[in-house]
Amino acid sequence: MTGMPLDTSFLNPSPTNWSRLPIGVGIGLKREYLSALRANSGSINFLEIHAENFMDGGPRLELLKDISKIWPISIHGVALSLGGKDPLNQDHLEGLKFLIDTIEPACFSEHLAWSSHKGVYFNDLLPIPYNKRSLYHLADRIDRVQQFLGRPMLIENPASYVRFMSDTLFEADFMAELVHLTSCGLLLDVNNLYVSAQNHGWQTKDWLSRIPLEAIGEIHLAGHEPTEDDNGNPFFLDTHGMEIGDPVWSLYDDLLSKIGPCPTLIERDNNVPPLETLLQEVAQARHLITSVKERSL
Amino acid sequence: MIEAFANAIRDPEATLPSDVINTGSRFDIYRSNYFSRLTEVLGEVFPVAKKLVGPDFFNALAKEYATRFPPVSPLLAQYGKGFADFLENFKPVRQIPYLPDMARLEWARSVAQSKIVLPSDLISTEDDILQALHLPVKYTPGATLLKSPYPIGTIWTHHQQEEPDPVPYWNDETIAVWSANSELHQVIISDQEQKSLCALTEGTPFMNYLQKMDDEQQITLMIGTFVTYINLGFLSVGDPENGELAT
Repeated sequence: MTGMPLDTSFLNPSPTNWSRLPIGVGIGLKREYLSALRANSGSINFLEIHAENFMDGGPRLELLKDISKIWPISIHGVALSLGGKDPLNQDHLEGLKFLIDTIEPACFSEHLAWSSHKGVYFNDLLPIPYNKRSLYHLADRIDRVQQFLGRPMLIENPASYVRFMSDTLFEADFMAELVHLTSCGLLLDVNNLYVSAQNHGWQTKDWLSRIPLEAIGEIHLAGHEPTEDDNGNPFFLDTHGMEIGDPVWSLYDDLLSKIGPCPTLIERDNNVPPLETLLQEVAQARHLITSVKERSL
Repeated sequence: MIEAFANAIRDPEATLPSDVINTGSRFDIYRSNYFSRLTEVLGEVFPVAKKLVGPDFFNALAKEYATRFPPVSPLLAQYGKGFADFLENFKPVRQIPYLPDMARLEWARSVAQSKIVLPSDLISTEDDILQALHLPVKYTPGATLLKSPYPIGTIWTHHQQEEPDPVPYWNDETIAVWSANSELHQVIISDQEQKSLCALTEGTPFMNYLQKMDDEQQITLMIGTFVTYINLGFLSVGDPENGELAT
């Protein structure tokens, strides 16, 4: 013993630059869950919403204002098309800023993807090549968005099914460079990492060793489904329509042991189960967070 | 790269973008996601239209619509605004001539649901009525008056059951759709009410119209309708922004 107090700050990490979400587990906002959640608000630690579902204003925004008094809110954007070639949509940015200024979320995140081209919105998170050109293009846009919103954002790693001949950088290196260039944080989607690693033959351990782990402000967990291409080769789909698979839980546990407790979202957008089923996954994630805390003592 | 990728998603006949590493049919996931998500969005906004033509036909219709009119906004709640006009001009559905009006009704419901309308003061005294008659009148935000040569409101109601009853009559109907006090309202209005509501010119006092009439009994009936629909929250008078919290 040196007589110095032990540094235990990592057990209850202070809010990072990127996220003021509590250390705990949240779920996506679903209207059908609300009354049961209100009756037991401690069953989750935060709620996540898709920004675009609330940018019309109206009753939904009023509902969200009400809910934000109960739980911290994570706003997750799906349509900024940061990797796209169209100019950033100023109307969309202004709508986003209005929503963020109104709700004052604990966290705002977007995707390493494009979703619009020549004015057409594809309603999907489409892959970008990883090379220097796309890196600087994306960094410039992330920087402009952060400056416009007046706050830093988290960028989520994608699940992808194809890669490009013009790739010259590994995904993890690309993301690490983005953090370095823009001071953005990372939303690490463990399921996306697992799916992409399986689909492209990457090693998840290698991937995780190459990103700045301290930049992770939130984790996503979700389910995936196996399928086959027309050559009979297996690959994985990121469906958000199944329970979280064992390999994803295992990867999540490994990640927590590296970074310590971290706000974690259970994502379920399709084939939505009863709340009780989802809360079992919330309990499992909470258990792993608690375990990693105990292992750190 | 993005140009070729975008074109290949929207065109099922297009070849794989040259920059994409060929990995069997994996690229098709992006194509099918694009169409299936838009079909799902349209199916949620137009559930009765979907029921009328059946899910397979509706999915084909939705795919055709998505091909011709791709979404231009990430706010997909707004996608489908032109669906009724598309159906009007789409030959394969001409054997269901009321389908476009059904889509108009369902779109009106979707628009009304997206609005918050603050409750306004009820009109009860003679002074209230006189004052309201001299103020500019308008539909409350998100309210629609839909006139159809088909019994569109009745068909819609019958299709809320799993096994719809046959429609007992086949006449024209006018339907008022609006949102008030956090509830969506849809009413098939009477001929008398239709006369009054169709006579309204938005932004003009109702008195301007009544002054052109001679029949006192008719005037009394029309004022009655006017007052009723203000108190129901379908019409508002005065400040053109009255009641609107957000659009």
